[in-house]
Formats: sequence, C-alpha cells, structure tokens
Amino acid sequence: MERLISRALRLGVIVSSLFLIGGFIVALLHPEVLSHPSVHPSAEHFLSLFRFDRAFFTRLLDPFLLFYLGIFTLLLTPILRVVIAIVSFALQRDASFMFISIAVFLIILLSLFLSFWRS
Amino acid sequence: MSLTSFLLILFGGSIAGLLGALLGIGGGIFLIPYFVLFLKIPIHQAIATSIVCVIATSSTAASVNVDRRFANVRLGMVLETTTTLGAIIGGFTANALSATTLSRIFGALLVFVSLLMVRKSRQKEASTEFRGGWINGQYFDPATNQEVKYTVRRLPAGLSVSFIAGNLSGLLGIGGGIMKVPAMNLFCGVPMKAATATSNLMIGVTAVASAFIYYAHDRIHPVITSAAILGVLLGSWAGTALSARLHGRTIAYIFTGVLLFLAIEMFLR
Repeated sequence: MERLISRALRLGVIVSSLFLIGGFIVALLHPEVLSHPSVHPSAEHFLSLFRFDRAFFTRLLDPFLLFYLGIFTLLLTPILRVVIAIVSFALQRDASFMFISIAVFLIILLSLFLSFWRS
Repeated sequence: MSLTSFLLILFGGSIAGLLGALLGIGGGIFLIPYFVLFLKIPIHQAIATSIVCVIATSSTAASVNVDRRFANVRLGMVLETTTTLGAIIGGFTANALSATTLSRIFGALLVFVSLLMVRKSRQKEASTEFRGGWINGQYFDPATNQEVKYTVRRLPAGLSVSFIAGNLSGLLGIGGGIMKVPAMNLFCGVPMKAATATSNLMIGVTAVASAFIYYAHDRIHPVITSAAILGVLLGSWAGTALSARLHGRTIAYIFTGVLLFLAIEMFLR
C-alpha cells in the first residue's frame, strides 16, 4: 500500500505541473490571453472550457484549460490516495481501517456536496 | 492580469516554498501575507491560492515520507476524519467573514507561529514507547541507524487537536502542521520524524476538503493559483536541496523577525 500511495502522489504532482508548465509556455507565447476581460474565476467559464464540442481540441492550447487541468489534477491527488487506501485495507481484510478510510472519503464528498448544492 | 504579475506570483511562490522547506512547514504562512500586502490580492483569494499550493507541497513531501515508512498511513487516516470536518467548517467560516476580520485573525496566527518558532528551537522531543496497541508504527531512522517502533497513545487528544488544526487550515489556508506535529509528538507519543511525515500526509486531504468551498465561492483564480503552484514547487525543491547544508537556531530567529513584521502589517491593514 505504501509504495502505491507514494507513487500516486508523485504522479499527481508531476502530471499537474506538466499541465501548468504547458499553460505557462502558451501564456508566454501569447501574453495577451492572460488579460482577456472574460477571465475571472467562475464555474461558468470553467464549464465552457470543458464542453466537448468540435472546438475542444483547439482549446487544448488555451492556457486556462491547461491551468484548470493542472489545478484539478492536484485536487484529485489526495482523493486518489484515500481511494487506494480503501482498496488496500479491503484486500488486507482490515475492516476497521477500511471503514475509517471510507469515512474520510465520504467527508470529502460531503464537502463537494455542501460547496455546490446551492448553485 | 499581466505577464509581470504572473512572474511576481511565481517569484513569491518560490520564496514561500523555499522558506517553507527550510523550516519544515508549508509555505502558506509566507505566501498569504506576500499576496495581500505586496500584490494587493484580496485575502480570500490569497487563502484559496495557498490552500491549493499546500496540496502540492504536501503531496511532494508525503510521496517520499510514505515510501520510507516515516508517515503512519493508519494514524493519518484516523486523524483525517476530524481534521477534514474541521476544514469544512473553517472554509465556510472564512467565506462568511469580512476581509478585515480575516486579516486580523491571520495576523494573530503569525504572532502565535513566530513565538512557537522560538520555543521550537529549544524544545526537546517527547518520549515514545512501544507496547503494542491499536495503532503502532515502525520505521528505520537513517540518522541514528536504528529501527524505531512506537505505539500511538491518547488518540482522543490527537483527534481534538486535528479538528482544530483542520479548522485553522480551512479558515486561513495553511497546512496546520504547526499544530499537528507537536500534538502528535507530545500527546500521542509519536516520534518527531513520524509526526512531521504523518502531518504532511494529512495536509493534502485537509486542504482538498476546504478547496472545493473556496472554488464554489469563485475564489480560486486559475492564473494566480497556477503561477503560485509552479513557484512553490520550484522553491520547495530548491529548499529541500539547501536544507541539508543550512541549519541552526539563527534561521529560526530571522524567520521569527520576518513573521512578526508581517503580523504587524496584517493588523494595520
């Protein structure tokens, strides 16, 4: 379990920083994108970037899409770590720690739910 | 947002990451004042940025610590139940508070941390023992060339402190290791090395629990956050490489001075 968790954490950080470096390079090439007026942190802007239409692949060069991908990979990393722990404890037939890990996972889901249920 | 501000954020992130790695803490305590005082970024956004950066440093450090068995995955998981609940409450509280109130609370935290830093440099490690309990730990310490075994005791005390630490983390965007590490060592009898490593492992999950709240309140700015993460990662890599050579009480005193200065600035805002 320890080795797997360690690798998952490292992978998460590496993938995330690759997205961010990619976004940074695109932003360096087109610095004017950064000051685009439509750019402010909003869920709407975020969702518009992830619409899987024909223009999706051209948006892969949008620094904002890359930045969001980097940030979200980073947010998913600790959650993935909890999931690995749940599976590992289940395989070790360690019921009490499996349930504790599930509890932590559910609390994170609760946080997601509480954050977005009104919007 | 101009390229200049992007680079300024990147620069601030690397300094925070560097100082954090040298002191063995997350960089949030330096990052937030830099954002608020020098870049004039609203404090809620500064905290949101810091909370994401904390995940980056925590994951980097934890991947090494878990592999070497310094971090106690079981103990971490148990304490994460209360720390994440605390973080959710902290996150909602922060988003309900005004910027002025939040700045003052942050200033108070800086004073507290700077005093703790001075104390820490004189503090001795609490004793640990192995007697076989619900949660035990074992690792090889290369510094002393010994196999270390310990049993976690007084878990309720650890759970309570974790709740408060999570609360502070969600409220102020810091990792909260500054509370968890001494608590695990003094109350639960976890050796310092294991306490630091376990706290680091826990910080990622704690930060995620409140990050969503900040995200839903539109506080996570994609450009600011990305620049800061890259900076913090760069800085903490450099800091880890440097920390082997740099050491001593002097560093702790200099940082105490810096923190006190920042605390006064935050109060006067």
